[in-house]
Amino acid sequence: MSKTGVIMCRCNGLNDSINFPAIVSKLAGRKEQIPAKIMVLACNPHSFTEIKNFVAEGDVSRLVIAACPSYLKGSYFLHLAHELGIAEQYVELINIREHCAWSLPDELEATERAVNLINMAIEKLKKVKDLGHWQAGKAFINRNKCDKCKRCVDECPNKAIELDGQGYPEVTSKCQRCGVCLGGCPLGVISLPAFRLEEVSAMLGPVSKVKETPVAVGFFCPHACEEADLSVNHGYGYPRNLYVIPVPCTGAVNMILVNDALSMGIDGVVVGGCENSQCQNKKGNEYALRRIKNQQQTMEEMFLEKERLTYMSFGEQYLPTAIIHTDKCSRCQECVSVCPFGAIHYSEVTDTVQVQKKKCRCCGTCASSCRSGAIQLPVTSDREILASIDLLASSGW
Amino acid sequence: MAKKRIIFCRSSECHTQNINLWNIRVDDELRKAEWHEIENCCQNLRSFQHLLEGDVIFVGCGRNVIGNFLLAQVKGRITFADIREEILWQGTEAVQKEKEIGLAIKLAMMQLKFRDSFRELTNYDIFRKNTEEYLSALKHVGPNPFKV
Repeated sequence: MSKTGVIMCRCNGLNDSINFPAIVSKLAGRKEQIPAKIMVLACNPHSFTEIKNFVAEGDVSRLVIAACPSYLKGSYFLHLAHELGIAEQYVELINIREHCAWSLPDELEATERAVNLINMAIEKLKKVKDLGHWQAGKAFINRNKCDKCKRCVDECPNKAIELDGQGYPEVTSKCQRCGVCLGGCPLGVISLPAFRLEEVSAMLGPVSKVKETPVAVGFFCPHACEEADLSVNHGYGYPRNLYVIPVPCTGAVNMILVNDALSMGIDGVVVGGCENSQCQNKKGNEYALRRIKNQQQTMEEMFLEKERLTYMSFGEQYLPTAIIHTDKCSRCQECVSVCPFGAIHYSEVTDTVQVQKKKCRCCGTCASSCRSGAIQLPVTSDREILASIDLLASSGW
Repeated sequence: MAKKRIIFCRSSECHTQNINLWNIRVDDELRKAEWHEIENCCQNLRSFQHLLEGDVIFVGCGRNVIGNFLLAQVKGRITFADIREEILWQGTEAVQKEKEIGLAIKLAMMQLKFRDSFRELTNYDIFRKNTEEYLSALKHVGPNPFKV
């Protein structure tokens, strides 16, 4: 039988406002007795042997890693799990640093929130099934339940779904795993590697048991997750009664999940994503907004307040943007066509190419395509890279 | 001109404890800077806040670990010399490591001139403001009727 284990990272003291021994004893007290390990720096290469022993001794086949945000050390932990023979879908990474330790100064509150987050991850891992499509790295459509409505074919922003000879949708290798098809499927028969509706629904269980009111669940896209964490880094805490579940894109939020959340007694659902036309998956947020509007109407018909479901974006103005030096610019408008976020436009009135600050994500696509070298990035630049190479070369590197 | 300030984090867990800084500071450029050694920076974030002014080079873990926190505090320019993940956690010899650390610090010092100064951003609290507004609206709406 598969057994879940929990690794908790104290992150060299950064997470010390959490009472880790209390969590260990709570997990040990569960019916299924979940083994847990506290580590000082789980990402330290020297911790590998400790984790290996923990997995071997506890006969652990599914792993919850409670540490810093997944975009920081996530790839390392996934690699580590791979080395231990645990497949990616059986590893759940949760962020207890920004969500608990850094945002809640009270030890009791931080610990309780950490326990809830760990419980959510455990419930998710219980539902993971090996459907054999993870290795393919694309969306999976369960043909046995599909009614051939073709909605996924119409909505896929990458045109990655085609119909086969029998009229069933088939996912091609163009799939970017954005989940927009999954979010729109009325029967919920589409799943992504490590993101199935059944798994996410299971995560809602522990949230519904939180005693505080109101309690809300947030489905946040990776950008919204980062923005929320950045806000915590700047000293603004996380609301303690908002539990965030990361999703690949807001377009991947199926309204089945919203119905599940509300029927379980969760007071509200927040879908957190990008502002209009900023979505990396082209149309994910547009679909999400449309679906939310429809769902709100349905909720009102069911005498449920529409305020319980909302869409939120967090400004997206944290990063400094690309700068276009007008004196160098040749007005070729190459940057306008290559910008993946549609953040650059040409103004005929002023005869200048301008960057819209709200849309720019500072990805650097424009700078690398500019033949005049007129675009400067505040984070890094060609001059900086060349100067670094000079320094390394002069040091005999 | 104000001296560049180097904040060196000493931590046994991160393996920065036993580095001999004398060997690194012999370099002309590095000698000119103002050096501050802090024990476990991540645990004592508030203790060196007064040093985060002017041009600062943080030597220790990468920007991902406490970088965003430091960026929010610094009144000036800051760069990071990630010696923990890139050098100390790699399996090279001690002498080689010291050389690499010196070079990493020099690289970070050089990068300073390409960085923007501190700028006041006012919208970092947008996440908290939006979610708090939403939660108070939820409170006003009342509990979910499906709640058992």
